[in-house]
Amino acid sequence: MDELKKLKQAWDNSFQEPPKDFDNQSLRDILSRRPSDPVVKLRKSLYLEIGIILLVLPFLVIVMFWLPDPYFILNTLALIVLFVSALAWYWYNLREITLLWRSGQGNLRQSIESTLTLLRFFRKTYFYLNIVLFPLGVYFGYIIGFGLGSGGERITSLLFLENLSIALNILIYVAAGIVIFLGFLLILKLYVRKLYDVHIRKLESIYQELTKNEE
Amino acid sequence: MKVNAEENDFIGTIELHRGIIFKVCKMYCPQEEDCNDLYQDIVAQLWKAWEGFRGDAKISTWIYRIALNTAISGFRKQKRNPLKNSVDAIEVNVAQEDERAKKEDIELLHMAIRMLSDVEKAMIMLYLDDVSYEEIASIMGITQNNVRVKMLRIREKLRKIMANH
Repeated sequence: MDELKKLKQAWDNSFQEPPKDFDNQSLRDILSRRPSDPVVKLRKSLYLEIGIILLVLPFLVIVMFWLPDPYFILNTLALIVLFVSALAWYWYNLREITLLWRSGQGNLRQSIESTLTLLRFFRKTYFYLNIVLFPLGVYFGYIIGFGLGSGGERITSLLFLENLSIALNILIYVAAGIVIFLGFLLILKLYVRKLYDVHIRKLESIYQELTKNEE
Repeated sequence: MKVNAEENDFIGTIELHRGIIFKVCKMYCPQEEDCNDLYQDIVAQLWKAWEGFRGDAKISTWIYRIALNTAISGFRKQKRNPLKNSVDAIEVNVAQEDERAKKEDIELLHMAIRMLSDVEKAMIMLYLDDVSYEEIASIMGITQNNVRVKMLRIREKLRKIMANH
Protein backbone atom coordinates (compact mmCIF):
# COMPACT_ATOMS: atom_id res chain seq x y z
CA MET A 1 0.00 0.00 0.00
CA ASP A 2 2.88 2.32 0.87
CA GLU A 3 4.45 1.62 -2.48
CA LEU A 4 1.24 2.60 -4.25
CA LYS A 5 0.96 5.74 -2.19
CA LYS A 6 4.51 6.64 -3.16
CA LEU A 7 3.72 6.04 -6.82
CA LYS A 8 0.62 8.23 -6.67
CA GLN A 9 2.55 10.93 -4.88
CA ALA A 10 5.32 10.84 -7.47
CA TRP A 11 2.70 11.02 -10.21
CA ASP A 12 0.93 13.99 -8.62
CA ASN A 13 4.24 15.79 -8.12
CA SER A 14 5.22 15.37 -11.77
CA PHE A 15 2.63 17.75 -13.11
CA GLN A 16 2.25 20.46 -10.50
CA GLU A 17 3.05 23.51 -12.58
CA PRO A 18 0.91 24.47 -15.55
CA PRO A 19 2.80 23.43 -18.68
CA LYS A 20 4.36 26.13 -20.83
CA ASP A 21 3.07 26.54 -24.42
CA PHE A 22 -0.24 25.03 -23.42
CA ASP A 23 -1.79 28.45 -22.87
CA ASN A 24 -4.95 30.26 -23.91
CA GLN A 25 -3.44 31.71 -27.11
CA SER A 26 -2.14 28.35 -28.35
CA LEU A 27 -5.63 26.92 -27.85
CA ARG A 28 -7.20 29.73 -29.90
CA ASP A 29 -4.61 29.19 -32.63
CA ILE A 30 -5.48 25.50 -32.86
CA LEU A 31 -9.22 26.24 -33.05
CA SER A 32 -8.69 28.74 -35.86
CA ARG A 33 -7.01 26.09 -38.00
CA ARG A 34 -8.91 23.61 -40.16
CA PRO A 35 -9.60 20.45 -38.13
CA SER A 36 -7.76 17.39 -39.32
CA ASP A 37 -8.68 13.83 -38.41
CA PRO A 38 -7.43 10.52 -39.85
CA VAL A 39 -10.10 10.60 -42.57
CA VAL A 40 -8.91 14.04 -43.72
CA LYS A 41 -5.25 12.97 -43.68
CA LEU A 42 -5.90 9.76 -45.60
CA ARG A 43 -8.18 11.47 -48.09
CA LYS A 44 -5.52 14.04 -48.95
CA SER A 45 -3.02 11.46 -50.20
CA LEU A 46 -5.65 9.68 -52.29
CA TYR A 47 -7.05 12.91 -53.72
CA LEU A 48 -3.63 13.90 -54.97
CA GLU A 49 -3.23 10.70 -56.97
CA ILE A 50 -6.79 10.75 -58.29
CA GLY A 51 -6.34 14.42 -59.25
CA ILE A 52 -3.30 13.63 -61.35
CA ILE A 53 -5.16 10.83 -63.13
CA LEU A 54 -8.18 13.05 -63.72
CA LEU A 55 -5.91 15.39 -65.63
CA VAL A 56 -5.19 12.55 -68.05
CA LEU A 57 -8.84 11.75 -68.78
CA PRO A 58 -9.74 14.98 -70.64
CA PHE A 59 -6.63 14.47 -72.74
CA LEU A 60 -7.86 10.99 -73.67
CA VAL A 61 -11.29 12.33 -74.58
CA ILE A 62 -9.76 15.08 -76.76
CA VAL A 63 -7.52 12.59 -78.58
CA MET A 64 -10.50 10.27 -79.01
CA PHE A 65 -12.37 12.92 -81.03
CA TRP A 66 -9.24 14.04 -82.79
CA LEU A 67 -8.48 10.52 -84.01
CA PRO A 68 -11.79 8.85 -84.83
CA ASP A 69 -10.31 5.39 -85.02
CA PRO A 70 -12.78 2.63 -83.94
CA TYR A 71 -10.10 0.62 -82.07
CA PHE A 72 -8.93 3.67 -80.27
CA ILE A 73 -12.43 4.94 -79.40
CA LEU A 74 -13.47 1.54 -78.06
CA ASN A 75 -10.34 1.13 -75.94
CA THR A 76 -10.54 4.66 -74.56
CA LEU A 77 -14.24 4.37 -73.77
CA ALA A 78 -13.67 1.07 -71.96
CA LEU A 79 -10.91 2.63 -69.85
CA ILE A 80 -12.94 5.74 -69.04
CA VAL A 81 -15.93 3.59 -67.97
CA LEU A 82 -13.60 1.46 -65.84
CA PHE A 83 -12.03 4.46 -64.17
CA VAL A 84 -15.29 6.36 -63.58
CA SER A 85 -16.90 3.21 -62.08
CA ALA A 86 -13.90 2.80 -59.78
CA LEU A 87 -14.23 6.42 -58.69
CA ALA A 88 -17.98 6.07 -58.06
CA TRP A 89 -17.31 2.95 -55.97
CA TYR A 90 -14.65 4.88 -54.05
CA TRP A 91 -16.88 7.90 -53.34
CA TYR A 92 -19.75 5.74 -52.14
CA ASN A 93 -17.55 3.69 -49.80
CA LEU A 94 -15.66 6.70 -48.52
CA ARG A 95 -18.94 8.36 -47.51
CA GLU A 96 -20.11 5.21 -45.71
CA ILE A 97 -16.80 4.61 -44.00
CA THR A 98 -16.46 8.24 -42.86
CA LEU A 99 -19.90 8.07 -41.25
CA LEU A 100 -18.98 4.79 -39.59
CA TRP A 101 -15.65 6.14 -38.35
CA ARG A 102 -17.16 9.32 -36.92
CA SER A 103 -19.95 7.40 -35.17
CA GLY A 104 -17.46 4.95 -33.72
CA GLN A 105 -15.52 7.49 -31.66
CA GLY A 106 -16.82 6.31 -28.30
CA ASN A 107 -14.43 4.41 -26.07
CA LEU A 108 -10.92 3.27 -26.97
CA ARG A 109 -12.07 -0.14 -28.16
CA GLN A 110 -14.65 1.38 -30.54
CA SER A 111 -12.12 3.95 -31.67
CA ILE A 112 -9.58 1.27 -32.57
CA GLU A 113 -12.24 -0.84 -34.30
CA SER A 114 -13.41 2.04 -36.48
CA THR A 115 -9.87 3.26 -37.22
CA LEU A 116 -8.96 -0.28 -38.29
CA THR A 117 -12.01 -0.44 -40.57
CA LEU A 118 -11.01 2.92 -42.01
CA LEU A 119 -7.38 1.96 -42.60
CA ARG A 120 -8.32 -1.39 -44.14
CA PHE A 121 -10.73 0.41 -46.46
CA PHE A 122 -8.06 2.88 -47.55
CA ARG A 123 -5.54 0.09 -48.06
CA LYS A 124 -8.01 -1.86 -50.21
CA THR A 125 -9.06 1.23 -52.15
CA TYR A 126 -5.52 2.35 -52.76
CA PHE A 127 -4.56 -1.12 -53.96
CA TYR A 128 -7.48 -1.71 -56.33
CA LEU A 129 -7.55 1.85 -57.58
CA ASN A 130 -3.93 1.46 -58.64
CA ILE A 131 -4.72 -1.87 -60.28
CA VAL A 132 -7.39 -0.04 -62.30
CA LEU A 133 -5.07 2.88 -62.97
CA PHE A 134 -2.28 0.63 -64.23
CA PRO A 135 -3.87 -0.16 -67.62
CA LEU A 136 -4.82 3.51 -67.89
CA GLY A 137 -1.18 4.47 -67.47
CA VAL A 138 -0.02 1.83 -69.96
CA TYR A 139 -2.65 2.96 -72.43
CA PHE A 140 -1.59 6.55 -72.00
CA GLY A 141 1.94 5.53 -72.93
CA TYR A 142 0.57 3.58 -75.89
CA ILE A 143 -1.20 6.69 -77.19
CA ILE A 144 1.95 8.74 -76.92
CA GLY A 145 3.99 6.04 -78.66
CA PHE A 146 1.71 4.73 -81.38
CA GLY A 147 -1.49 6.74 -81.28
CA LEU A 148 -0.74 9.03 -84.18
CA GLY A 149 -0.81 6.43 -86.97
CA SER A 150 -3.80 4.59 -88.45
CA GLY A 151 -5.03 1.33 -86.88
CA GLY A 152 -3.25 -0.83 -89.48
CA GLU A 153 0.10 0.97 -89.16
CA ARG A 154 -0.10 0.78 -85.41
CA ILE A 155 -0.56 -2.99 -85.45
CA THR A 156 2.32 -3.42 -87.93
CA SER A 157 4.59 -1.16 -85.90
CA LEU A 158 3.86 -3.23 -82.81
CA LEU A 159 5.05 -6.41 -84.52
CA PHE A 160 8.62 -5.94 -83.47
CA LEU A 161 9.49 -9.55 -84.34
CA GLU A 162 8.37 -9.42 -87.94
CA ASN A 163 9.70 -12.85 -88.89
CA LEU A 164 7.44 -14.44 -86.25
CA SER A 165 3.74 -15.09 -86.67
CA ILE A 166 1.14 -12.68 -85.28
CA ALA A 167 0.08 -15.34 -82.76
CA LEU A 168 3.61 -15.61 -81.41
CA ASN A 169 3.94 -11.86 -81.27
CA ILE A 170 0.72 -11.65 -79.29
CA LEU A 171 2.00 -14.37 -76.98
CA ILE A 172 5.22 -12.42 -76.37
CA TYR A 173 3.20 -9.27 -75.69
CA VAL A 174 0.92 -11.05 -73.26
CA ALA A 175 3.90 -12.60 -71.46
CA ALA A 176 5.66 -9.23 -71.26
CA GLY A 177 2.41 -7.64 -70.01
CA ILE A 178 2.08 -10.27 -67.29
CA VAL A 179 5.70 -9.79 -66.18
CA ILE A 180 5.31 -5.98 -66.08
CA PHE A 181 2.01 -6.30 -64.23
CA LEU A 182 3.48 -8.71 -61.67
CA GLY A 183 6.42 -6.36 -61.13
CA PHE A 184 4.02 -3.47 -60.67
CA LEU A 185 1.94 -5.57 -58.27
CA LEU A 186 5.00 -6.36 -56.18
CA ILE A 187 6.07 -2.71 -55.94
CA LEU A 188 2.49 -1.68 -55.17
CA LYS A 189 2.21 -4.27 -52.41
CA LEU A 190 5.45 -3.10 -50.83
CA TYR A 191 4.35 0.52 -51.02
CA VAL A 192 0.90 -0.20 -49.54
CA ARG A 193 2.57 -2.18 -46.77
CA LYS A 194 4.78 0.80 -45.95
CA LEU A 195 1.86 3.22 -46.16
CA TYR A 196 -0.84 1.41 -44.17
CA ASP A 197 0.27 -1.98 -42.84
CA VAL A 198 2.53 -0.59 -40.12
CA HIS A 199 -0.41 1.27 -38.57
CA ILE A 200 -2.83 -1.59 -39.11
CA ARG A 201 -0.53 -4.12 -37.45
CA LYS A 202 0.14 -1.79 -34.53
CA LEU A 203 -3.57 -1.21 -33.96
CA GLU A 204 -4.38 -4.91 -34.32
CA SER A 205 -1.87 -5.76 -31.63
CA ILE A 206 -3.22 -3.01 -29.31
CA TYR A 207 -6.76 -4.30 -29.92
CA GLN A 208 -5.71 -7.85 -29.18
CA GLU A 209 -4.08 -6.77 -25.93
CA LEU A 210 -7.07 -4.64 -24.94
CA THR A 211 -9.67 -7.34 -25.54
CA LYS A 212 -7.66 -10.18 -24.00
CA ASN A 213 -9.69 -11.79 -21.16
CA GLU A 214 -12.92 -10.26 -22.49
CA GLU A 215 -15.88 -12.62 -22.85
CA MET B 1 -21.35 35.79 -31.07
CA LYS B 2 -22.73 32.37 -30.15
CA VAL B 3 -19.69 30.72 -31.70
CA ASN B 4 -17.38 33.00 -29.73
CA ALA B 5 -19.19 32.27 -26.47
CA GLU B 6 -18.95 28.55 -27.20
CA GLU B 7 -15.27 28.88 -28.05
CA ASN B 8 -14.60 30.76 -24.81
CA ASP B 9 -16.53 28.16 -22.89
CA PHE B 10 -14.49 25.39 -24.52
CA ILE B 11 -11.15 27.12 -23.94
CA GLY B 12 -12.05 27.77 -20.31
CA THR B 13 -12.87 24.09 -19.78
CA ILE B 14 -9.72 22.88 -21.54
CA GLU B 15 -7.54 25.31 -19.56
CA LEU B 16 -8.96 23.92 -16.36
CA HIS B 17 -8.15 20.36 -17.42
CA ARG B 18 -5.06 20.92 -19.55
CA GLY B 19 -3.05 18.83 -17.11
CA ILE B 20 -4.81 15.72 -18.44
CA ILE B 21 -3.88 16.52 -22.04
CA PHE B 22 -0.35 17.37 -20.98
CA LYS B 23 0.07 14.04 -19.15
CA VAL B 24 -1.21 12.04 -22.13
CA CYS B 25 1.08 13.95 -24.51
CA LYS B 26 4.14 13.48 -22.29
CA MET B 27 3.54 9.77 -21.76
CA TYR B 28 2.87 8.95 -25.41
CA CYS B 29 5.37 11.34 -27.03
CA PRO B 30 8.59 11.95 -25.10
CA GLN B 31 9.92 14.13 -27.94
CA GLU B 32 8.93 17.80 -27.78
CA GLU B 33 7.99 18.08 -31.46
CA ASP B 34 5.77 14.97 -31.46
CA CYS B 35 4.28 16.08 -28.16
CA ASN B 36 3.17 19.42 -29.64
CA ASP B 37 1.65 17.68 -32.66
CA LEU B 38 -0.27 15.32 -30.42
CA TYR B 39 -1.42 18.23 -28.23
CA GLN B 40 -2.82 20.00 -31.29
CA ASP B 41 -4.51 16.82 -32.54
CA ILE B 42 -6.12 16.22 -29.14
CA VAL B 43 -7.41 19.79 -28.80
CA ALA B 44 -8.76 19.68 -32.37
CA GLN B 45 -10.56 16.39 -31.64
CA LEU B 46 -11.95 17.76 -28.37
CA TRP B 47 -13.24 20.85 -30.16
CA LYS B 48 -14.90 18.69 -32.82
CA ALA B 49 -16.57 16.58 -30.14
CA TRP B 50 -17.45 19.55 -27.90
CA GLU B 51 -20.86 20.11 -29.51
CA GLY B 52 -21.84 16.51 -28.81
CA PHE B 53 -20.73 16.58 -25.18
CA ARG B 54 -23.93 16.43 -23.15
CA GLY B 55 -22.41 16.18 -19.74
CA ASP B 56 -23.60 12.63 -18.99
CA ALA B 57 -19.97 11.75 -18.20
CA LYS B 58 -17.54 13.70 -16.03
CA ILE B 59 -15.64 16.27 -18.07
CA SER B 60 -12.30 14.76 -17.02
CA THR B 61 -13.45 11.31 -18.19
CA TRP B 62 -14.56 12.80 -21.51
CA ILE B 63 -11.22 14.56 -22.00
CA TYR B 64 -9.28 11.42 -21.04
CA ARG B 65 -11.35 9.33 -23.44
CA ILE B 66 -10.75 11.57 -26.45
CA ALA B 67 -7.11 12.27 -25.57
CA LEU B 68 -6.32 8.56 -25.24
CA ASN B 69 -8.28 7.68 -28.41
CA THR B 70 -6.26 10.27 -30.30
CA ALA B 71 -2.92 9.23 -28.79
CA ILE B 72 -3.42 5.49 -29.27
CA SER B 73 -5.53 5.04 -32.38
CA GLY B 74 -4.74 8.32 -34.15
CA PHE B 75 -3.08 8.12 -37.54
CA ARG B 76 0.13 10.00 -36.76
CA LYS B 77 3.72 9.69 -37.88
CA GLN B 78 6.39 9.90 -35.19
CA LYS B 79 9.05 12.33 -36.30
CA ARG B 80 11.74 10.67 -34.23
CA ASN B 81 12.11 7.44 -32.36
CA PRO B 82 10.79 7.69 -28.84
CA LEU B 83 13.46 7.40 -26.17
CA LYS B 84 11.82 4.65 -24.21
CA ASN B 85 14.49 4.27 -21.62
CA SER B 86 16.01 7.70 -21.53
CA VAL B 87 15.64 9.51 -18.26
CA ASP B 88 17.21 12.59 -19.87
CA ALA B 89 14.15 13.05 -22.04
CA ILE B 90 11.83 13.38 -19.07
CA GLU B 91 10.88 16.84 -17.96
CA VAL B 92 9.91 17.23 -14.35
CA ASN B 93 8.59 20.20 -12.54
CA VAL B 94 10.48 19.82 -9.32
CA ALA B 95 13.36 22.25 -9.40
CA GLN B 96 14.77 22.53 -5.89
CA GLU B 97 18.03 20.79 -5.09
CA ASP B 98 16.78 19.48 -1.75
CA GLU B 99 14.06 17.60 -3.54
CA ARG B 100 16.47 15.45 -5.48
CA ALA B 101 15.02 12.23 -4.13
CA LYS B 102 11.54 13.28 -5.12
CA LYS B 103 12.78 14.12 -8.59
CA GLU B 104 14.44 10.74 -8.91
CA ASP B 105 11.21 9.00 -7.93
CA ILE B 106 9.36 10.95 -10.58
CA GLU B 107 11.96 10.20 -13.24
CA LEU B 108 11.89 6.52 -12.37
CA LEU B 109 8.10 6.41 -12.47
CA HIS B 110 7.93 8.19 -15.83
CA MET B 111 10.61 5.95 -17.27
CA ALA B 112 8.81 2.84 -16.03
CA ILE B 113 5.48 4.00 -17.44
CA ARG B 114 7.04 4.70 -20.81
CA MET B 115 8.29 1.12 -20.91
CA LEU B 116 4.71 -0.19 -20.69
CA SER B 117 2.55 -0.92 -23.72
CA ASP B 118 0.08 1.71 -25.00
CA VAL B 119 -2.85 0.02 -23.27
CA GLU B 120 -0.98 -0.44 -20.00
CA LYS B 121 0.22 3.16 -20.10
CA ALA B 122 -3.35 4.44 -20.47
CA MET B 123 -4.63 2.28 -17.63
CA ILE B 124 -1.90 3.14 -15.14
CA MET B 125 -2.28 6.87 -15.92
CA LEU B 126 -6.00 6.67 -15.20
CA TYR B 127 -5.35 4.64 -12.07
CA LEU B 128 -2.73 7.07 -10.75
CA ASP B 129 -5.17 9.92 -11.39
CA ASP B 130 -7.70 8.18 -9.13
CA VAL B 131 -10.14 7.39 -11.91
CA SER B 132 -12.50 4.65 -10.72
CA TYR B 133 -12.44 1.15 -12.23
CA GLU B 134 -15.92 1.79 -13.58
CA GLU B 135 -14.73 4.89 -15.43
CA ILE B 136 -11.56 3.16 -16.65
CA ALA B 137 -13.75 0.37 -18.04
CA SER B 138 -15.94 2.92 -19.80
CA ILE B 139 -12.97 4.84 -21.27
CA MET B 140 -11.21 1.68 -22.47
CA GLY B 141 -14.34 -0.16 -23.61
CA ILE B 142 -13.68 -3.29 -21.56
CA THR B 143 -15.35 -4.90 -18.55
CA GLN B 144 -14.55 -3.86 -14.98
CA ASN B 145 -13.43 -7.39 -14.32
CA ASN B 146 -10.89 -7.14 -17.11
CA VAL B 147 -9.75 -3.77 -15.72
CA ARG B 148 -9.09 -5.43 -12.36
CA VAL B 149 -7.13 -8.31 -13.92
CA LYS B 150 -5.10 -5.99 -16.11
CA MET B 151 -4.40 -3.53 -13.28
CA LEU B 152 -2.97 -6.29 -11.11
CA ARG B 153 -0.59 -7.29 -13.89
CA ILE B 154 0.36 -3.72 -14.75
CA ARG B 155 1.17 -2.83 -11.14
CA GLU B 156 3.29 -5.94 -10.84
CA LYS B 157 5.10 -5.14 -14.09
CA LEU B 158 5.66 -1.55 -13.00
CA ARG B 159 7.01 -2.70 -9.65
CA LYS B 160 9.46 -5.07 -11.38
CA ILE B 161 10.68 -2.39 -13.81
CA MET B 162 11.21 0.08 -11.00
CA ALA B 163 12.95 -2.49 -8.81
CA ASN B 164 15.40 -3.27 -11.63
CA HIS B 165 16.51 0.35 -11.95
